Amino acid sequence: MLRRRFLTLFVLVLVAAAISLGAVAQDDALVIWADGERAPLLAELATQFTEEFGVPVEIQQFGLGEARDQLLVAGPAGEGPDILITAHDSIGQFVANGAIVPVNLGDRVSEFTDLSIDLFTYNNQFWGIPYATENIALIRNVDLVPEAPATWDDVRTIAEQFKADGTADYAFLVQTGNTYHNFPITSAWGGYIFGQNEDGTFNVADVGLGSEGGLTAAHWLSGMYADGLMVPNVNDDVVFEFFGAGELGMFVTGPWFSQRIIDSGVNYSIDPLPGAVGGKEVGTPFAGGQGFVISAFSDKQLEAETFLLDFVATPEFMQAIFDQGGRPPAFLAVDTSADPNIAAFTAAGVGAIPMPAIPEMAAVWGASDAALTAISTGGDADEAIAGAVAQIANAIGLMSSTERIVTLPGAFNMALGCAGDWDPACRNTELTLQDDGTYAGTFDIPAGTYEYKVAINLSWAENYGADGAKDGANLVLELAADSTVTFVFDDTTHVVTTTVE
Amino acid sequence: MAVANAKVGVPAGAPSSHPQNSTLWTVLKYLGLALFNAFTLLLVYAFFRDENLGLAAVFLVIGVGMNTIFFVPSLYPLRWMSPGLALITLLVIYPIIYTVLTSFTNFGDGHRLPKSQAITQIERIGGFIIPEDAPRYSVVPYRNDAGTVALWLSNATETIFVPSGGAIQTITDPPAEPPADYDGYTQVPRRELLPTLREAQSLPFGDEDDVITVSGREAIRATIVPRFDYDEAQDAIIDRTDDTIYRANEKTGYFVGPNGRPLQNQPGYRVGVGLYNFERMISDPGLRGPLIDIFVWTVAFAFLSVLLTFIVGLAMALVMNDPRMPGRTIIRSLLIIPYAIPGVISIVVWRGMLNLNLGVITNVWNDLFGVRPGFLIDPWLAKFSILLVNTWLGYPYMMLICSGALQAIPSDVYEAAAVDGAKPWQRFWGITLPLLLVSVGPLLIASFTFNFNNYLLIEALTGADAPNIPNSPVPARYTDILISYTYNIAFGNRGSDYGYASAITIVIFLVVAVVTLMQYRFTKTWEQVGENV
Amino acid sequence: MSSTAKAPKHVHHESRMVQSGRERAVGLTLRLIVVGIAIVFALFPVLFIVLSAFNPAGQLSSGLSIPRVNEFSDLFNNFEALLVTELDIWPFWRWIANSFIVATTSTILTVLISALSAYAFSRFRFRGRRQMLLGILLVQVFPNLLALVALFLMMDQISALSRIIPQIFAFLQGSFLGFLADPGSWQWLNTFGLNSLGGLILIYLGGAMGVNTWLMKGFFDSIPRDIDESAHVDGATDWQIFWLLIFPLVRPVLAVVGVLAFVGTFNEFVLARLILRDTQNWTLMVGLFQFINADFNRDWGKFAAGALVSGIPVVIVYLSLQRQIVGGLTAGAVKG
Repeated sequence: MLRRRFLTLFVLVLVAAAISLGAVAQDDALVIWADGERAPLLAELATQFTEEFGVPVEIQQFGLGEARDQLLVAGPAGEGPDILITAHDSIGQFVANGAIVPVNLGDRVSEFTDLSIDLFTYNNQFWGIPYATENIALIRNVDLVPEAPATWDDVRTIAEQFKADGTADYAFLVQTGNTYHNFPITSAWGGYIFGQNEDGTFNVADVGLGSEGGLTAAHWLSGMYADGLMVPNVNDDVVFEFFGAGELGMFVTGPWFSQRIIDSGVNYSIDPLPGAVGGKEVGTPFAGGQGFVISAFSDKQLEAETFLLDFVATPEFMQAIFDQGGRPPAFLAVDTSADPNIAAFTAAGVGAIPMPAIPEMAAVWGASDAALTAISTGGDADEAIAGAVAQIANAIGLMSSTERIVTLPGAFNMALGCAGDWDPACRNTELTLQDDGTYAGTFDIPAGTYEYKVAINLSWAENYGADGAKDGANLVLELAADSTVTFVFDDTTHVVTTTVE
Repeated sequence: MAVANAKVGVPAGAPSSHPQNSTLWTVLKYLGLALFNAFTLLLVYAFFRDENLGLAAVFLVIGVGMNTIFFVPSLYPLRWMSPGLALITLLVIYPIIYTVLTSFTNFGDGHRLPKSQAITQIERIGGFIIPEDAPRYSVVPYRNDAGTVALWLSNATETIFVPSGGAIQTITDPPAEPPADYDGYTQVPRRELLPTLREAQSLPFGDEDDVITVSGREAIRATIVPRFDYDEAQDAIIDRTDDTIYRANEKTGYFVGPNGRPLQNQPGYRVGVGLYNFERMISDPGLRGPLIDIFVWTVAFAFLSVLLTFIVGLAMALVMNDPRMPGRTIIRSLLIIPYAIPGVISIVVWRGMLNLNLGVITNVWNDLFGVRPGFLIDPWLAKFSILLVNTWLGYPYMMLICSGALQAIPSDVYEAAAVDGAKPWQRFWGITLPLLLVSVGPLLIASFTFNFNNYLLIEALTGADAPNIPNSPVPARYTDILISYTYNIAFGNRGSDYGYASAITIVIFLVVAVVTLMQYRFTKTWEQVGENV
Repeated sequence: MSSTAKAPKHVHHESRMVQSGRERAVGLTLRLIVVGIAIVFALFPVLFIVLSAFNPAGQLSSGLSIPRVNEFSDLFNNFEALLVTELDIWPFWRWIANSFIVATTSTILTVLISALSAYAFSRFRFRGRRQMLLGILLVQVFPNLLALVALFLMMDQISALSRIIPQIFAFLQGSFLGFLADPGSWQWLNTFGLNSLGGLILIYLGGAMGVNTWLMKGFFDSIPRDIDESAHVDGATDWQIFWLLIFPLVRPVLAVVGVLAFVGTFNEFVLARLILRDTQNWTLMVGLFQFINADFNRDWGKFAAGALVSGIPVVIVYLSLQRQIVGGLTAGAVKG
């Protein structure tokens, strides 16, 4: 009995499966990967495009992060999309993998906001058609906090007052352990993520969390938590719950929650972020953007470009995206009057700092989030930040380990124009890779006796000393007179040889 | 019993099998095998032709293996497992081999492509060197009856018309819109616009001194050259803007310029790096950090998860096994519901319930005792919460297999015990549990190893809330288990570093394998118990 | 113990339950308390999922409050959107059908494949038996993060076969074997490649011969060998013994493995997402996950509603197999 039932079921299922297994694969279609919100809008455009050019279009749904990961795997195998939607900060990773092609906007650059053009420019090339930008702002319960605070110290004053008179539970809460939402506090005092070189590129050896401003901000946070003015374990749900219940005066969030702010039923105002005494007048959040990019693995780049420039970058379609999404549009012609919050968010985003798209950012998020979490539960601010800075340096040292940067931290560093002696991150002492596989450099050094070591990738994490020993004793350089010294470092034996002229 | 133990496989085609239609059966068998072999060989050849040697090898192994199993009589028992073995080889062992091979490469972000494809991409993405003062035009393509393509080119200053291979004609007083017909050429319809433009990219326009090139959707009145091209003789990419030579470095998988710096913002390629990824693990400060604490917690977490889920699951199965229990069917179905709901949503709900500020559990605790425990932010409570949630997620599984396994215990065993006057507790410890362990013991090991690598639970439940271990060289949480900690090292820093992650994976596997082997020794005892039943 | 077990007789067990009335009452009360606690523990988190499913705001319920709505019918917004109004965007019923096909097919094949292997492991003694058992356990515990990449590339290759194979046979064009060079005759291979339910089923079967084989082997071991012996003496083949004798006897474990495999494949997301591209081809879990895949504004309401709906088939499958799993103690064995 059982066997017969089992077999019958088996046969039935096989038949059903065979009927419905038919795979749909159109090799000649223009494939677009879009998220669930944009996909239905694109479907309408696709029909028009097909009618006009006779090229079928297939829209497949992928979340933004998912699309990025899958493009990098599927693209090289020829199974990727021709066009995909991405956040601007993935561009660095795409470029490093040769996964997207630059887009030639020509004169049409002027149709987009400057910010969106900035965000989609990487390495002096332009990589996509932006449709939205975003930044966080200060959301305020007008009944509880009638005037927007000008500085974070004012925020603290309001919080103390709340605590004293019991107006509400909290004056201000911020999402715990979240660098993105905490960044305006850091930046208000002049803290930053990475320093910038003269040419505008980032100097990943200069981590700004540990700068004076970054530390001041960390101490402010630490004080708020220590005095019970803020609580840990806060996320979006927590802030909205307290805000809606009238127990929270202010918090930060972005335009993606525009509707949720309205739904909270609170008499609210969206303001620019506070500044700091001795820092910036107005706080600056991160700016982010979203847009369409063209896969470099696509064999239909002409079609993709036409679709984006003639069909997507049009006032009608950009308006439709805006009406659906609620983020500040990247396209100037879009009418945003329907959403009163947008103007306020845009105003709060004036001067926003484009979130760096460089791959090194990945190292920052984890370490900085961890430090913020530690501060929220009473960890020492200086220790937490120092730990994060060390972690970031470690991670960046590790990641660039295939392209090794060799420097000579030592007592002669300042003589070569470094900011200080014994600085592994000073590139003035850098040795460059020679054709024979060794690293070499020639420097003019004044007379004297100097100790020094060899550091790899601008940090002490990997360093070599006398006789090529890892973490070994200091090397010694003795110069009777001012000399030109050539250092040669063999990365297989880790031994340094010097030639003095 | 002794007879059964001595039996060593019945040889193929033993006289006892299918005495009535043995000839037909044999013919069918060989026909089936012939078809299988033909198809497998076809696949092997097809993969080989497509230069996918890995898959070709796997199918070859499967084909040879199946034939061996079929023709060697002493491998008769394996015939029963042949479908399972073939699938496991293709879908489990092949990916493992792929991982092992990857651990010897630099596969990861920046090195995802094979060299040839990286070169193609660099040439393609690098764009062209276009003289700055070269006039640019928007293009409208035309075609005559002979199929010759011509271009109507216009910009702010001039409008020209140029047939492929013909002379450039400047049009004075151009109409506002390009005409439908011009000089015997007809404007191509929209539908053929893109194919024609693509064709035009490879056609010559203008003459030697005055070249017009179609690039994408525009035309440029100049000779344009690709910025990067690959020189096979030097095995190098040459940047034509300043003729810098970037030599392929087979050690690092980069095209390296004269200053020792790789070609910036262009992909590198995949190369073998030998044991480099393993050496890196030794020098990685992250792997010298809080690794011992994390390892101890990982083992404790996996062990306690199995223990707790097993205790709860078994208790439920035993209670539900009693026929006097009212409403058994309903209750059992209710108890299975946690298993029916996707784990992700359950974990997120638990995360909300345990939140310090508005979690229901925290609130109730606050009402009862006046304190808010940091279920997710206190180092010890966070560990406790993880175990609690994992017990919730896992007990229905244990309940299911225990319910099934309880059926395998012959009732006469109980009967004998009852005659001996054994109390219920004695019956449980003396009979039920040992016999149960015979069938579920290996599953407990499997459950242990699953939890050892239970990345999703740790990430989704504690995420950024979890307390951090201070002074760790890489971000580490008190709740991190080996796999979540090491994956954050391999994937958290610069996108994905598959080569390094694979090396870490292999080391973790060795650890799990040792732990599993140690536990496996116990199953010998279990099996002997089973044999004696 | 072994002396009592040497000559097993299978009889029903009611006779052993000799307890006094008081003992019985206490035992039952205790059981009810345990069961009560267990049910609260099991269902309390589910309550939140239910509340979220009925909450039109699309957020996960954070308190035990009844969702705030203007009209009663708004409570069903999430369900209505999923099951009725937004079918042109989310083909929900299609997803359920796909999930069913995938889960049922792979469950049946999994049960069959692992039962065959377990039978061999339980009944035959051969060299390397324990090593193989250990081996299939070990390969399953390999933390295989790269499996996704490897499997994706494999599926991609299988999709490419329908293009490559006709090229191989191109020389046969025109002959009576010309059909081999026709791409049309190889299209069926695509039903096992990327973006196909067949390919997904194939991948799921990779896990067929893992832990399940162990579970079944343990159960097979507990079926006395005497049954096989006497059948062998009567001239039955191994296949006949397996299919006619043992298979019906091990119903409980077949049902357990069946439920495990069904739940596992029905709720699987990662592999399904990797293989299935078109919305029409998605399984239910892939469909549901895109509601919470947005970077910030996740629609937990629809996800929760879908998760509840998707829980129903699992409970139904369990209910229908429950009798097999916990039915009369080895009742079937008496027939042997």
